[in-house]
Amino acid sequence: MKSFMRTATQLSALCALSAFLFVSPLLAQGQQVLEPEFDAKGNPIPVTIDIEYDDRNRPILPAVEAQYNDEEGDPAYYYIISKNPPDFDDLQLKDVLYFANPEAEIPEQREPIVAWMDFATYNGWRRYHEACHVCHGPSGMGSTYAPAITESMQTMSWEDFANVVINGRGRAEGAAAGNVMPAFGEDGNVAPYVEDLYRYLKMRADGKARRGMRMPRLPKYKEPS
Amino acid sequence: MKYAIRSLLSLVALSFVVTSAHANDWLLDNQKDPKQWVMPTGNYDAHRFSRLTQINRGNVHRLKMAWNFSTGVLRGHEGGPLVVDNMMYIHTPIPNKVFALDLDEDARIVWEYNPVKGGRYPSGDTEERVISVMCCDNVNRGVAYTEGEGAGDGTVFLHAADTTLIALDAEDGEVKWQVTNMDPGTGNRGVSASTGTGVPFIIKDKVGIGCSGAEFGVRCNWTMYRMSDGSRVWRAYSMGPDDDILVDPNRTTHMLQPVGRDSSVNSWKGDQWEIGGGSIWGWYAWDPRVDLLYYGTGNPSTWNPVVRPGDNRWSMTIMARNPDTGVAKWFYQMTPHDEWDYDGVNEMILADIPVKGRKRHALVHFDRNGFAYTMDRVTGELLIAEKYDPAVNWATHVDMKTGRPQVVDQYSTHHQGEDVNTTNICPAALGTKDQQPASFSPKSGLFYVPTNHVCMDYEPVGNPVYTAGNAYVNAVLSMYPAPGGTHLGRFIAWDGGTGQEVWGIDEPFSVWSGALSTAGDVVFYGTLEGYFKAVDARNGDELFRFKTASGIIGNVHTWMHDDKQYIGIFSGVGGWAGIGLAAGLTDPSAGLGAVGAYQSLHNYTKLGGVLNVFSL
Repeated sequence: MKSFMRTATQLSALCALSAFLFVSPLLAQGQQVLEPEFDAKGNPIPVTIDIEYDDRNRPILPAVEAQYNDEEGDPAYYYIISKNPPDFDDLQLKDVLYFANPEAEIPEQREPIVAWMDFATYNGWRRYHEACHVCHGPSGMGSTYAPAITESMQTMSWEDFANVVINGRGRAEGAAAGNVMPAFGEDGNVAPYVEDLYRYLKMRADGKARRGMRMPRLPKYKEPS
Repeated sequence: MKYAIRSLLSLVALSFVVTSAHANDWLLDNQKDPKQWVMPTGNYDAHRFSRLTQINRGNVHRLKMAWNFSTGVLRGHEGGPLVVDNMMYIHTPIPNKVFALDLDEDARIVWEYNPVKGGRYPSGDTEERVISVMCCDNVNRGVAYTEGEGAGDGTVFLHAADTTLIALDAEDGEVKWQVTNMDPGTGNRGVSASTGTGVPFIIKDKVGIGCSGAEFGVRCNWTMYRMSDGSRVWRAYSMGPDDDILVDPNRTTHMLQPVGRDSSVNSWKGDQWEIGGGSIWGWYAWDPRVDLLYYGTGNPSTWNPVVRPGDNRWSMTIMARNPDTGVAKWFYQMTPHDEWDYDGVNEMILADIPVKGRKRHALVHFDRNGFAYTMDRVTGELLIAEKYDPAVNWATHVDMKTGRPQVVDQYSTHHQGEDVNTTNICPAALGTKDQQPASFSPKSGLFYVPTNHVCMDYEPVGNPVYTAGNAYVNAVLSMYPAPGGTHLGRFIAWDGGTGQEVWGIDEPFSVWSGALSTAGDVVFYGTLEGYFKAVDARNGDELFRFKTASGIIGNVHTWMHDDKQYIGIFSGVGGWAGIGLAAGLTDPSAGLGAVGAYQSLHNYTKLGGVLNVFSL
């Protein structure tokens, strides 16, 4: 668990520093799929994840997938969006399912896979829903007058993404005439977190985070001392 | 002594009304003519009621589309046109065009006005800049019209999105004068990024407008201009020092008690009131007998309540002001220290109705916070405050002695704290009802109310940063249907005298259209999927429906031309509903408790502004 705490600390610093660092996010590299194991009671066995660092000594965060098979036996993916890595020592099956989908019935004989979202991606989720969803719709699904980012992100480069968020986009032509994207370069609630936004939206675009998750009640996030 | 003089003055005003010797009484006279629709709200009481009976409960099923008109603008079409004799004045979302149609000549376009020239609004701000700071779509809610003293042979007033108030000659659409109310361009603290969406409101020889931008830290106000030349008469901020908010600390009351000195600044931490929000963009009313202007103020900025302790007065407040001086007679703050974005801007309906067995000069207001308030509009006494959707859970009730809602800790986003997601709050931020105005039928004595049935999770984001000209929201919201149902909307008939629902119709999507009731015992409204509906005023039975070209967020109106009654309604989906619903609450896999029940609104409707006109 110590490594997680370290991650959180460094990330907080990273959030503040990453304002205009147009570097390629590390999500794809950091992603891991776990094959969790379960004890006799069906509770997931604690998992330890090694944190790797890139050449600038920044943590490469793992985005850990969770999965349990749906009725047809196909894998269904869920992410826990959590400010902190879940405490695997104390995680019960019911918690996992609640985190993943509070509407889901707890299956008796399923094979759940635990998942959580790193803080940067979580921060991207909430910054998105603070500043962007007003036009682009919840979870990047688009609205009557702004494109679905989940679609645009499939072809958009990191550089283009950051450029549009920071500098905005002028009046669109044709079918989208009248649409304007404001510049967020001076917005202190957005600009420092462009990379986090990218992480979150890329994850959505890649189908790695399904929408429909309702945030569980979480303990107040404390900056690690 | 002052008081005596004031009473005398209001007596004089009263006699002016009676003898029709007003500075400009054209609207007072013409609001009574059911053949015209001269105000967006139908009349000064905001009844949205018509005495016409040619279309009635017995024959409304034979309604047919008579003609329609494309505005050529795609985004959300709120509000509705005016009808003055043979002329119709139609507004549009940004770029805020105005069309004048001659109904005598088959709705020929007599003139067309576009305030955006060379890509810029009259304020000098580019159209792009203005669009980028519109919080919730490019909407505009309509124009105002009058003639006579100060307005010549007819003047159309437009409140453009860049906050410019424009007086147009009704004859040819030429600009008589224009004045930029605020400053949507970047720059000034508490002013930058303000916008205009609300209708201009004419009282006597003055025309007033509100202001939008509480999501950008704008300190909003009501400003009254002289109709003849656009000179400013008074401005009353929603928050700030007493001189800014135009109160008399000893005479202006709240819950019948004087508000006292510094009533607003005392309720904010430090200088936060300078970026305090309190926008004004709903529907207004004027009672000429007591000479009071009524409007409501919106949310305090930011949406993170933890960083702005205090009651944040006078956000979320019903205000009654003297229209000549601006001085407030009474306030009532419905949601002190807002933690949910429950703007208090919805329409103020003036109705003389029996309340608990006694006839009252009432003001009835269906607030975003889910409570329907009945006030004594003369004194500001709170008479009734009841939930008009049983799902409302953020407060148990309103304490009738203090007027304060009794907030439930579980749903208090302040109590739960920053960076904590407070879940299952009802209603959602878009309220049990947003601006879509209700109708009051003096015939049935009932209010007909379009409502939302949506709940939310709300997380205030810590360490908010205010930068002039940028968004200042700082909360994460997700919205979904209220528990125990699959419908997102409900159209209800409400008894304002008892505070009870009489009948209701579940709608799959929020009802975001302004209602119209008529003496023909019919109530009309539109739906987000694009249905224009007529129901029986007595029991809500559906009598007629027609699928229009796009989802409806406009307001129904009616008029008579060549002895034929017409009903008009904008279609053209958008507005906040177009954001929250068109994208958000429509994914069948969205874990909303009713998997599969929500087909995308995209499957029903597309953008496009059209005025639909029906007749028998």
